Amino acid sequence: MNDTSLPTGFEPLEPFVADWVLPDTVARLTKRLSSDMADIRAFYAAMLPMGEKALVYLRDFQLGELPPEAERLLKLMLALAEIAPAVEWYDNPQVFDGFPVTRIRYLRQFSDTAAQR
Amino acid sequence: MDHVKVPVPPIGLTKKYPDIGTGPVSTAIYHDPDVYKKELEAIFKRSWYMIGRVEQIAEPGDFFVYDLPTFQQSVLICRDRDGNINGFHNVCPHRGNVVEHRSAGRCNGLFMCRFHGWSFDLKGNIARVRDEEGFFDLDKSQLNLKPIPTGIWEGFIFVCPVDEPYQSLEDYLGEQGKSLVGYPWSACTQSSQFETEIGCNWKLAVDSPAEVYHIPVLHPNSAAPTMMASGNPAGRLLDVTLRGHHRTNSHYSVMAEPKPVQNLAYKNAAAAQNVVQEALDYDMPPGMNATRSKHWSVDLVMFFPGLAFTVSAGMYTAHQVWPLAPDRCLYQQRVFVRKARNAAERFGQENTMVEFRDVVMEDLSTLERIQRALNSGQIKQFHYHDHELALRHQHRVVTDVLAEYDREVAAKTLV
Repeated sequence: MNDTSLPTGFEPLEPFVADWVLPDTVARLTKRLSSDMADIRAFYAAMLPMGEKALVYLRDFQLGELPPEAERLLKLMLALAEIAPAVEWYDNPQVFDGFPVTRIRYLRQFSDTAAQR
Repeated sequence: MDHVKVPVPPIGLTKKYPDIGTGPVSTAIYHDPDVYKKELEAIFKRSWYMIGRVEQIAEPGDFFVYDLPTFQQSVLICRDRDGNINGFHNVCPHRGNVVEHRSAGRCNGLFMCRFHGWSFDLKGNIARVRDEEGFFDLDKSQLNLKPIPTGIWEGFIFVCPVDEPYQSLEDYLGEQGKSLVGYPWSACTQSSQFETEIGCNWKLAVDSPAEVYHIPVLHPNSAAPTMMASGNPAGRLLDVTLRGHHRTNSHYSVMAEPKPVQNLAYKNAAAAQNVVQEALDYDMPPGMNATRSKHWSVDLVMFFPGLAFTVSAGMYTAHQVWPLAPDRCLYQQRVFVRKARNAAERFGQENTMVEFRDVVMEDLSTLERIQRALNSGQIKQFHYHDHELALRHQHRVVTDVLAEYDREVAAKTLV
């Protein structure tokens, strides 16, 4: 098993692991803003048809107890949440005519995978 | 999805409050430096500020530090061994450095200043002066941390930046506060927060989410499809309630066609989303969805001057605006959601957080442009739509409070 492997059945998404499994929300936002729409669309197009299946799979796991493959799958889904507005709302990585998101500072983020109290 | 036939919310909110007027208003209070100076005295020093939640300091020794940028104050909040929550100015009485330099954590019972090592216990009492024999007749009873007026409402920690508050926290929150008691604020244990400085008057940032007249135009692909839907093409509100200086907008919504990723989140990761009203696990307090409409989505609950909550059935956000200058403010957004019951629900949390952030980026886009028009004198009046009543109310409250303050100052001068 290598460090880009995903749970059985999700192998078609493995080519996206290197680029789209990222440490946190800020890293995902940065990735969205620095990507071109062709790459974002390719990721979206691969993820969306697998989205329901991925969530059904993840429903059987608790945060804080995720095996590495499931953790990577969850992080891919979190990246899908980040880039969804770029595809579905704006056709652009940036918020259309928006306030520059690069001017915001995150003071606190939801942990990606830690157990929640 | 079926396009359900639903009533279009009517015009007629403003006439519920006949004293508030209907004409255009002067924009001077949005940029005049003298008005701003007076606002700091008459409004901001007389208000209370939400700086966090009790869950952030669940155990004795837990602490967090929070800045009040308007007042150039740093506040240290901790829980002591009796379980009480204490608030102090984060200032070492020796030479003025911060007593706690970390933003949050758990201490072993003592806060130690990293300048010269003076330390203080969880009640703010001075514990140790390093090399004390080198000082001259120190009166240690005068060297405790200075408390800051601190209060709790529904698990939110509030502080007041002046030593003698103009009003109690309870009086400050008033009927607006009472009307929301019982909402499951503490169930939403997970929060994220961002902030940004904006080159605009604080009131513009407060105005930004306080009307929905803009929704079909400014948010055509993001918020509009779910907030307008078939029955409400103008994007009108269900209701506005004015309570003293505070106010609440009640938002209409029909779930139209969610976008594909939204749909995934709504269907499979519900914890972070607006749960359907039929599935509530609490009794909705009277201040929420005041009209008890089936087409209700969210209330924007505004506490004058700078705090607002978007409260929906299953989660909430908090917006906070801190004035920095006549044409500059700090905007902070917190998103509070319920704990994910499984790993799939973590996706719903992220979807919610990203949606709120991007929609707010759309909202904020107008503010520096408006401020430029104000500063250059290109707009001297605002014209408010019936459903921009909350903005008209804010304008009225600010104008009235400043006039009252002028009378107070004049009366003192006469004495």
